[in-house]
Amino acid sequence: MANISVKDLKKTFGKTVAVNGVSVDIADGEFFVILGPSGAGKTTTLKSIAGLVDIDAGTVSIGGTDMTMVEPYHRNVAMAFESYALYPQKTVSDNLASPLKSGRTGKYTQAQQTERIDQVTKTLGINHLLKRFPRELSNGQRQRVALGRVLVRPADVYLLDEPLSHLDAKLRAQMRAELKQLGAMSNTTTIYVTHDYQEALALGDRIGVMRAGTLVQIGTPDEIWRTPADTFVAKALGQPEINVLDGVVDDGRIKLADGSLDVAVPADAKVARGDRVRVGLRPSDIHVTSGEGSLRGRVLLAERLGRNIELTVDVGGAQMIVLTSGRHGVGEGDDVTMKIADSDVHVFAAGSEPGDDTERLTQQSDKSLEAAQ
Amino acid sequence: MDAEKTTTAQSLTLTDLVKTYAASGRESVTAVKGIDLAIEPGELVALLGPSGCGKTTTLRMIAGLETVTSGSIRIGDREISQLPAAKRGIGVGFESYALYPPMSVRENLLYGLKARKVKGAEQMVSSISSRLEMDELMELRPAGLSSGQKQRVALARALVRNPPVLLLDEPLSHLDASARQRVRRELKVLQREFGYTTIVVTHDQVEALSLADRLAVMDAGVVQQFGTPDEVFDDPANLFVAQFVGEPQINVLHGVAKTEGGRTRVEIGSGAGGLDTTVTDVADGTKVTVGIRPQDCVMSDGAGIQTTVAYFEHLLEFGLATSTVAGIEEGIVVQTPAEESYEPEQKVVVSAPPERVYLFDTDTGERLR
Repeated sequence: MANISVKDLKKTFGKTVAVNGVSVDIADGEFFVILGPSGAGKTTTLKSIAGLVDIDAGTVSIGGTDMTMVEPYHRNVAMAFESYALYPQKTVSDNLASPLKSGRTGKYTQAQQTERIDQVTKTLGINHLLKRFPRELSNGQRQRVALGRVLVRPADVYLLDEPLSHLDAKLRAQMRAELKQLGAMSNTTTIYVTHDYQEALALGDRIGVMRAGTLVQIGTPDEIWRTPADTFVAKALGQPEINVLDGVVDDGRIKLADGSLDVAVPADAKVARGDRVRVGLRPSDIHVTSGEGSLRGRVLLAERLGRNIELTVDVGGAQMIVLTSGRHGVGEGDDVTMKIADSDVHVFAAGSEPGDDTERLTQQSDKSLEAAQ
Repeated sequence: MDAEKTTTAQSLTLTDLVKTYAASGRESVTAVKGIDLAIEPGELVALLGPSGCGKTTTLRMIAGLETVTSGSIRIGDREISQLPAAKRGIGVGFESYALYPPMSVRENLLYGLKARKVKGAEQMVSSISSRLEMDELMELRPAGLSSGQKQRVALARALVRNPPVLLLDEPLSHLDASARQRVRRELKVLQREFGYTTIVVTHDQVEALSLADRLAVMDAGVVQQFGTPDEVFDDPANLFVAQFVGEPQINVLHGVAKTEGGRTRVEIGSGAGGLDTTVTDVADGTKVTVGIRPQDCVMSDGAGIQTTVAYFEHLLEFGLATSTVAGIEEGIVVQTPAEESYEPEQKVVVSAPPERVYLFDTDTGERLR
């Protein structure tokens, strides 16, 4: 049991800055997810906490003890790698028993070892594989054994690097649901690295969204979803991605010149009349209506997305994606009116070019400010 | 729009197409077991299936990269199955981009045309380039392109031949999630605009459903169902199609059909309740396999299946509850509305609209109607 405190962590590889000043406090027993694209510095951050890379600057403390200069062996952390790191000459059973035999966290009788292994392998659905060697396993099975090696031994901190990435979609969804229910998992401070936003939302007590070596935003899933700090965070969560449209502030509304967009400025937004801004609208928050609406456009595509229909709508020359629950008689080539709740409108600063990321122009709610401190 | 189309789209017809790989001393393998597909002019058809289902072999036979064991392939009225690849008039974009590294994009696009001494090649390449909005890429070399850009060049190279039929093998597989969606929509708009009869091979059901006018779901060398995205999703022909298409995956439960006065109900587990279904072609007391999509399940106060919540995940746009049913091993996954929340151990009743409760023959997996 331990809290983790990381301060101003920096790590460069040659000229590449992998981690550029990461600070985060993680509470005892918390499940903290680092979400970001590949190359953001997620794995390097995790390895720095484990002590597997020499950091250039900053401190790492676990349970109130400064661990920055402590060898990995003495940090009492257990880490699972995306590449599995199993003993090829040992059976699954022996691979799982080896962390218990190291003597690092006390001695276990044969019966205790068997009990722990039994419990973990049942949860991970690998209890029928105990006699096999790693070479006789699929990638998904190997990944579960590697995860089992971490969970079988009590540790102060679990560090998990994309532990579900090699599983097929169905198994991944199932394991994701089960992982959080694991007794060990719910009591032990865990840092979990992923690029899958659904995993982050499902598992994280809090999520840190990472880009180019920095944590752009830290918050509960709800905070990150409802008040994304910038367009990068907004785009990191949700499929299809959030729509980002350009507009101009006019009389408490954000509008497009041709009238295709006319939404309310959120009450707490710091904008003035005439400002150019970006409006973020999530595809599932937009609803096609037969009455009055704040968005108008022509349907370019109506595509099946599972039970939903995904509409691509031309709104003032920009393509906007709308998710609807059914066809509702809306077809390609039709003109549609859409509405969105005022509270679902996100406002960001205008960008200098289409692809760049800009910050949110609404103040964070008091609650999320508190959580960030 | 028709006047702008560069080519006269033609139909593509596969009749009883078979591919058998035979090697001396080994058992022969039939990868494609008699496929019939009639593709309309200008239609976009997806061949969807798991690896090894025969979709790529089918594509390669159409392209002329594999010999045909038996059966026919026709473009319009023209039989092409015995023609060499170059004479078939088919544009092919394969998964690996296969671009010549020392040549610029423009040279890559011109190469095939010049080799065949096509007149006006430069002009054709310029016209495709502007329609695909890739003028700024034309002087770059392949090594300097992002994977999305390479994909676009590969597509352009298939298009410059102005083929009556276009074949694309996993055209979006090298893109990250966000680019994949963008390029997918773009591809569909272009295909509509150009009007090519197009076949796309993919293993990604989301991609196939969203992209295709019709999709052929394949397994074990056989087309399991050929229909529009709505038909395949809402009216699956068999258990394989129901399980392969849709995410989260369809719930599969074992049950017993009960019929009374022309109405059918299926009992699940030991006294856990059951669901009404619109299926009529099933005898009273038949053991059946029941399929219900997580999106079609509703937590109700009324009649249905008694379950106990094992896990609940809140994913903000919706929730996913995994529940257990007394007397059976399979759990039920229910996609719940964003505003609802459930706790482990909570007792809930799961129901579904009768027309969305699919029954399958337990032995053959065929849909019972």
